[in-house]
Amino acid sequence: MKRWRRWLLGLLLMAVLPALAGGREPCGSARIFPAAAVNLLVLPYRSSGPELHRASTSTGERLAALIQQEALFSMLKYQSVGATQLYSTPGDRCNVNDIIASVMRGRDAMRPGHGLVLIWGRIYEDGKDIFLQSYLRFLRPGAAATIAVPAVADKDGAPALAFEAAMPAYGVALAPRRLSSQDFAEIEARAARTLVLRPTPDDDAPSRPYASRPDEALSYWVIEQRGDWMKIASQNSGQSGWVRARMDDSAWSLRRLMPELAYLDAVIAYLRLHSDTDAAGARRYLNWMQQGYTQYEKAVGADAAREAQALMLALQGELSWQGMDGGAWNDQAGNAAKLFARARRLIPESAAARNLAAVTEPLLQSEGRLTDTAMADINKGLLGAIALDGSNKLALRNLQKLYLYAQTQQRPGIYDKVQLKERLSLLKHALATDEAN
Amino acid sequence: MNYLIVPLRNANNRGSTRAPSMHRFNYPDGDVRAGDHVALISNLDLHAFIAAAIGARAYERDEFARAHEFLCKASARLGVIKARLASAPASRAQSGVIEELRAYTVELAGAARQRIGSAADSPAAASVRLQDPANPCADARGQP
Repeated sequence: MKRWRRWLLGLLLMAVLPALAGGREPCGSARIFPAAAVNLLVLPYRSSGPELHRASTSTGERLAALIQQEALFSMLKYQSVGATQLYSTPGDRCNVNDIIASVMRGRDAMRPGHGLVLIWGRIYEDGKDIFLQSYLRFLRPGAAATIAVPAVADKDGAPALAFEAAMPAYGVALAPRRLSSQDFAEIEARAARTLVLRPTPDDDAPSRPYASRPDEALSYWVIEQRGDWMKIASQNSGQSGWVRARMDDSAWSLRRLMPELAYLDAVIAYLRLHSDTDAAGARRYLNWMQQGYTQYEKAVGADAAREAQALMLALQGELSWQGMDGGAWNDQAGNAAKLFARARRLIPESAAARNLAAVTEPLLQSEGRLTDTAMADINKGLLGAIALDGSNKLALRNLQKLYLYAQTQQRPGIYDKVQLKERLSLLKHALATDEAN
Repeated sequence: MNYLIVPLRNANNRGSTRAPSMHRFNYPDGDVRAGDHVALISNLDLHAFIAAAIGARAYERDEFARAHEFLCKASARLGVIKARLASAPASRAQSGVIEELRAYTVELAGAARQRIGSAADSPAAASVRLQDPANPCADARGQP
């Protein structure tokens, strides 16, 4: 089918159905499904290491195809999702930044507030072993990159200042894994066995394979849905049939061997949650988010999952933070502050995590008031963040706001007037020179 | 798994510090499974020792702002390792050795802060000058 006809069909289907689709494109002309609330782009796993041990290109491409297949079926529960497998062409290194830039422009660009998640990785073969490491990055174009943390004056509760903080990261390097080539072949065989089309939504109905080759990516539209059964139409062959979207993970062997896919599912749940304001839906997404992370941690161990866990806690905190009532501290803000503090304890070496906790945890104790104790604790926490990253602009600016407030309110609780003046001069130097660079 | 922090071992050999430079771990250890070399890549222990090595080396090269940053990062991570080791009776003694190393990284970060002195000729140096020389990593020093 010609590409324009495929997209026209897609647009027609999008008009009447929730967006559910899969596709395959070269990295150089990467596209997403603009109507989908969340899009996943699966990049080829690139081989690395000495020439002798380099994985063949086909291993990386086959792995990407398997990930797309598994992720898409896992994502069906979220509705309004699209997954595209990207493949490299000669001379195209599939650069992540270039791909993100390309899907942000043009008529079919990402829509504000919709979510995009990319997964890619490195792969290395040594004898019968395949070593791989996956990376995730996610974003929501048009969404605020930081959260504002309001603080009020201690005496009269009047608005005093607003700190700023960002999540520790919007990407994570997941724990490296080792697969055997036998495992890999088994995964492919199982994927082919489970990816079958049936004429009716019935497990006992006769089946035929959807894909003719194991490395064939799923390119289809969902044209009808009944419960967890989806009727799909292939964009490649035009054939259609019913397939059951798997709601339980036990059937998916790739996820057992690649638990990072469970983490990917958790990130997709987070992105989907942002575009669904229905409370019941939000609870379901949050539940899936927690399930996905728990599966990942169970598989790789707490130490290897530290950064991933900290990010998940911070994201949950961000979701809770959005429940602040008119900027006033409430239970949800308190819950968020506790989650941010837990994230900081997991990754004490992260300046961003420290900044986030430094401007929220002390205010949790004081219910948003800039008491002397809160100011001292915020100062200590922000200095901790700056000790780890002297160029962290958010931490530097937050410290500047704190000192300016102390200076103008004549609150020399943390430093005297002379010290404050000197420290503000240092901050100006650090920020001004940094911003000039 | 044995970790040797080479810049610290060199400093041991020169007699400039007695901070422990060799560390031995019997994995799996608490949260650290590290059943093979691949799993070691994302190991907190490895990252802490690398940060300590970079910090110590930067200090030797008079790159004090960089030294301060990495030594504080090492200190923050070593605090987590120390707590992990202290939580199990079998590794409680080893937690003391890690604490020695952590205290040394903070001490060296303080020395880096002092060496920057009053010259804030770069944004990084200005940031370091915000720190208290007696507590150079603020609450990132790695103590619970």
